[in-house]
Amino acid sequence: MALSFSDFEVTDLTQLDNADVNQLLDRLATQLQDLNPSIDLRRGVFKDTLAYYHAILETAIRTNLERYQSARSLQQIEADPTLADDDVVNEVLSNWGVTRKLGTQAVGSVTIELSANSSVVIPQGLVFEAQGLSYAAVATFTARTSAGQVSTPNDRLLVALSNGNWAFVVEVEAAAVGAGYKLNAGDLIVPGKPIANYVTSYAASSFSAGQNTETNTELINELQLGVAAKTLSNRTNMKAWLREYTDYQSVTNQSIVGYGDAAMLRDQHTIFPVSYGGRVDWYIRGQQPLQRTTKTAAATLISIGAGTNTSTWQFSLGKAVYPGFYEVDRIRREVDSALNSGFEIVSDARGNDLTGGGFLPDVASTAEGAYSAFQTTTIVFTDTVTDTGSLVVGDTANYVYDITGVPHIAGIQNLVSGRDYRSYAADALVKAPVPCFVQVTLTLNKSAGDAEPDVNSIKTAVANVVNQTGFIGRLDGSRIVDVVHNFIQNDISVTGLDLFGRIRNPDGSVQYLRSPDSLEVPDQPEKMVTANTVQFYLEVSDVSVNVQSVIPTAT
Amino acid sequence: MQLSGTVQQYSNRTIDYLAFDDAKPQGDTLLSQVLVKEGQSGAVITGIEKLVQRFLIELLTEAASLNYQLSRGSMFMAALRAGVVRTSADLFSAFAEAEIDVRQNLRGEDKVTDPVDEQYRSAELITASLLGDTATLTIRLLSMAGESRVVIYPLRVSAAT
Repeated sequence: MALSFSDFEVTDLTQLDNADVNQLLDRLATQLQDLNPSIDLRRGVFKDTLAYYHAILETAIRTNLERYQSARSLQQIEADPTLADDDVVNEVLSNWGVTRKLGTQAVGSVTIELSANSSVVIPQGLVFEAQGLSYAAVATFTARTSAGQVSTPNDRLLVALSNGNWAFVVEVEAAAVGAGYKLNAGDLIVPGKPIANYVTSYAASSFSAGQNTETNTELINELQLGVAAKTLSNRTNMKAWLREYTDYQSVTNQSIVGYGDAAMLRDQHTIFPVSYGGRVDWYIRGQQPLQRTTKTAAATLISIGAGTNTSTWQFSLGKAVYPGFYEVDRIRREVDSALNSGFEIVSDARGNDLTGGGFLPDVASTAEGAYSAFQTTTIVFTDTVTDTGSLVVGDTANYVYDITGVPHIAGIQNLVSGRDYRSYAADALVKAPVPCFVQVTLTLNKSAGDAEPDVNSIKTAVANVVNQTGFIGRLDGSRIVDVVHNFIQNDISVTGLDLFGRIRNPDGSVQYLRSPDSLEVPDQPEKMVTANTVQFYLEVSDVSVNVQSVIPTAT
Repeated sequence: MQLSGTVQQYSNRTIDYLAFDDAKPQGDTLLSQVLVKEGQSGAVITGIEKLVQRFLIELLTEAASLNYQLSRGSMFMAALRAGVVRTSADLFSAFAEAEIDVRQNLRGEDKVTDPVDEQYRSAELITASLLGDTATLTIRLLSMAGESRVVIYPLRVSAAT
């Protein structure tokens, strides 16, 4: 929307500041009196009728100008961005080449389970609800009972599950923009209207897109990036360069570790134990929440338990499957894809695949390449369900697994490795931040007369505040308690805060943090674990809010 | 009859616009609230005429009707508008009440250095009558000059006809 003066104009002359009007009236009277001493400007018609109303009109004009100048003033906007008009902020910051990131609607797949193998139609626009939020089917989908009936992209084959149900998948889109609409794999999402033979429905994998529109405060914080040259040079320049790419608008926190940083190990690849520079580790949080995606892999049977019904399987994930992923979990058979639990993972052997064309960063160890686009793994797990009677080592079978991470690692790595962009004196390795997976537990104490707190909203808000934490090396409980207080009133209190963190180090080892007060990232630069490399991730499902009525009702 | 002052009477005095025209020294008259009358020029006034005009403006300005000068005016017009004035006795009562506000406001504007015939002392409602929707008031206005004031008539330049 184009900015017009009317956006700031005083439309009601009764809304002026009283002191402003009278101050101007006094000044006008004094000035006019000086100009013409014979006029009585202290009282009477000149003052009360002419000067008074002139002062009102003049005050209105001055107020308009002040409002306009304030709105166009970067200083005023920076003083309190929350008060500034969004359109004005857009226009002012456009002078520095900063454009607001617009929000996007979350989209994802929903698995619908039926109790019978019978065709159903999901009409376009059918509303689904999850955690109080609405989603709509993006097209008309038809569940088909046999593969021969599948003739269009929106025909979906019903697949038999081990629990006797039949499942098919449809795509839905959030009703509005925002990260709050992102669902994780397995989250319950139910249709708003009855579906024949319906049993249950849930997110097939983490929803994609779903990004908040950048707030004024966030936009102002990016101002320096607008001014900075968009080039792979210093930290500000590099962030400014990345911001220019609209494909990576979901990127939030970044940390650039380079020469002189203790956590930079890649510039010590010589016989001398010193840093010689020329290496950059660029830790990029590709999106605010943790991305949990469900995938399918063909596993190979490597052994069968003697005398038991267990079998050990293995599958490998190349660097292109999920670049920079964190973990694989919830491995289950295809027919059990709805299960929330999975088989035990025996080993997760990471490696790096530095094959292929183009420029390759200097990566000397598995740890150095962890969470980068070159990371690979081989997963070994134990299947305790499949009948081993007919199995032979070397058999293959499809297994469904969840994989967590953040997006854009490979895309950004390709960009920074491009000959046109990369520094001629250094290599940059793009990595997902070292993850600290967080669980939060808290208790709300209320009286019997207090309304039930909106626990779902509290969980979402807590997850947001944790996932927004920058590279500051600590997650303080006060920030969580503070955000919870936005949802409670009266005498409701927050107690029993418990913060639990699990850091998966780049070398594959795990360390745990626990505190009722604050999680502090240990300073272990030799492991590339420092405040500059670690990010906190909290999924809504890992927030526990206990509500208890223990406060006496006020009388 | 058109009365006009002389230039000499205005020397060393500050002037105001004449906003209530047609005042006569004696007898009843209907004032015209205009700055310029048809066929005449506007007029400037000084002395007791200024005080009379200030008094009228203050009396007829409804209290709290000026957004940025809420203390200005009186309750006189509000009382009339509200319909609580039904007899001449009510008029006296309303005037007495309003005069307190007027006195406070006018005296607040006056300085001891102002000409005494421009300083407000008091006002008294001599007669009051109600006829239909018309209220007729006879008001005696006293300045600090008391009875000794000289009426300086509006200074007017006749407009060309």
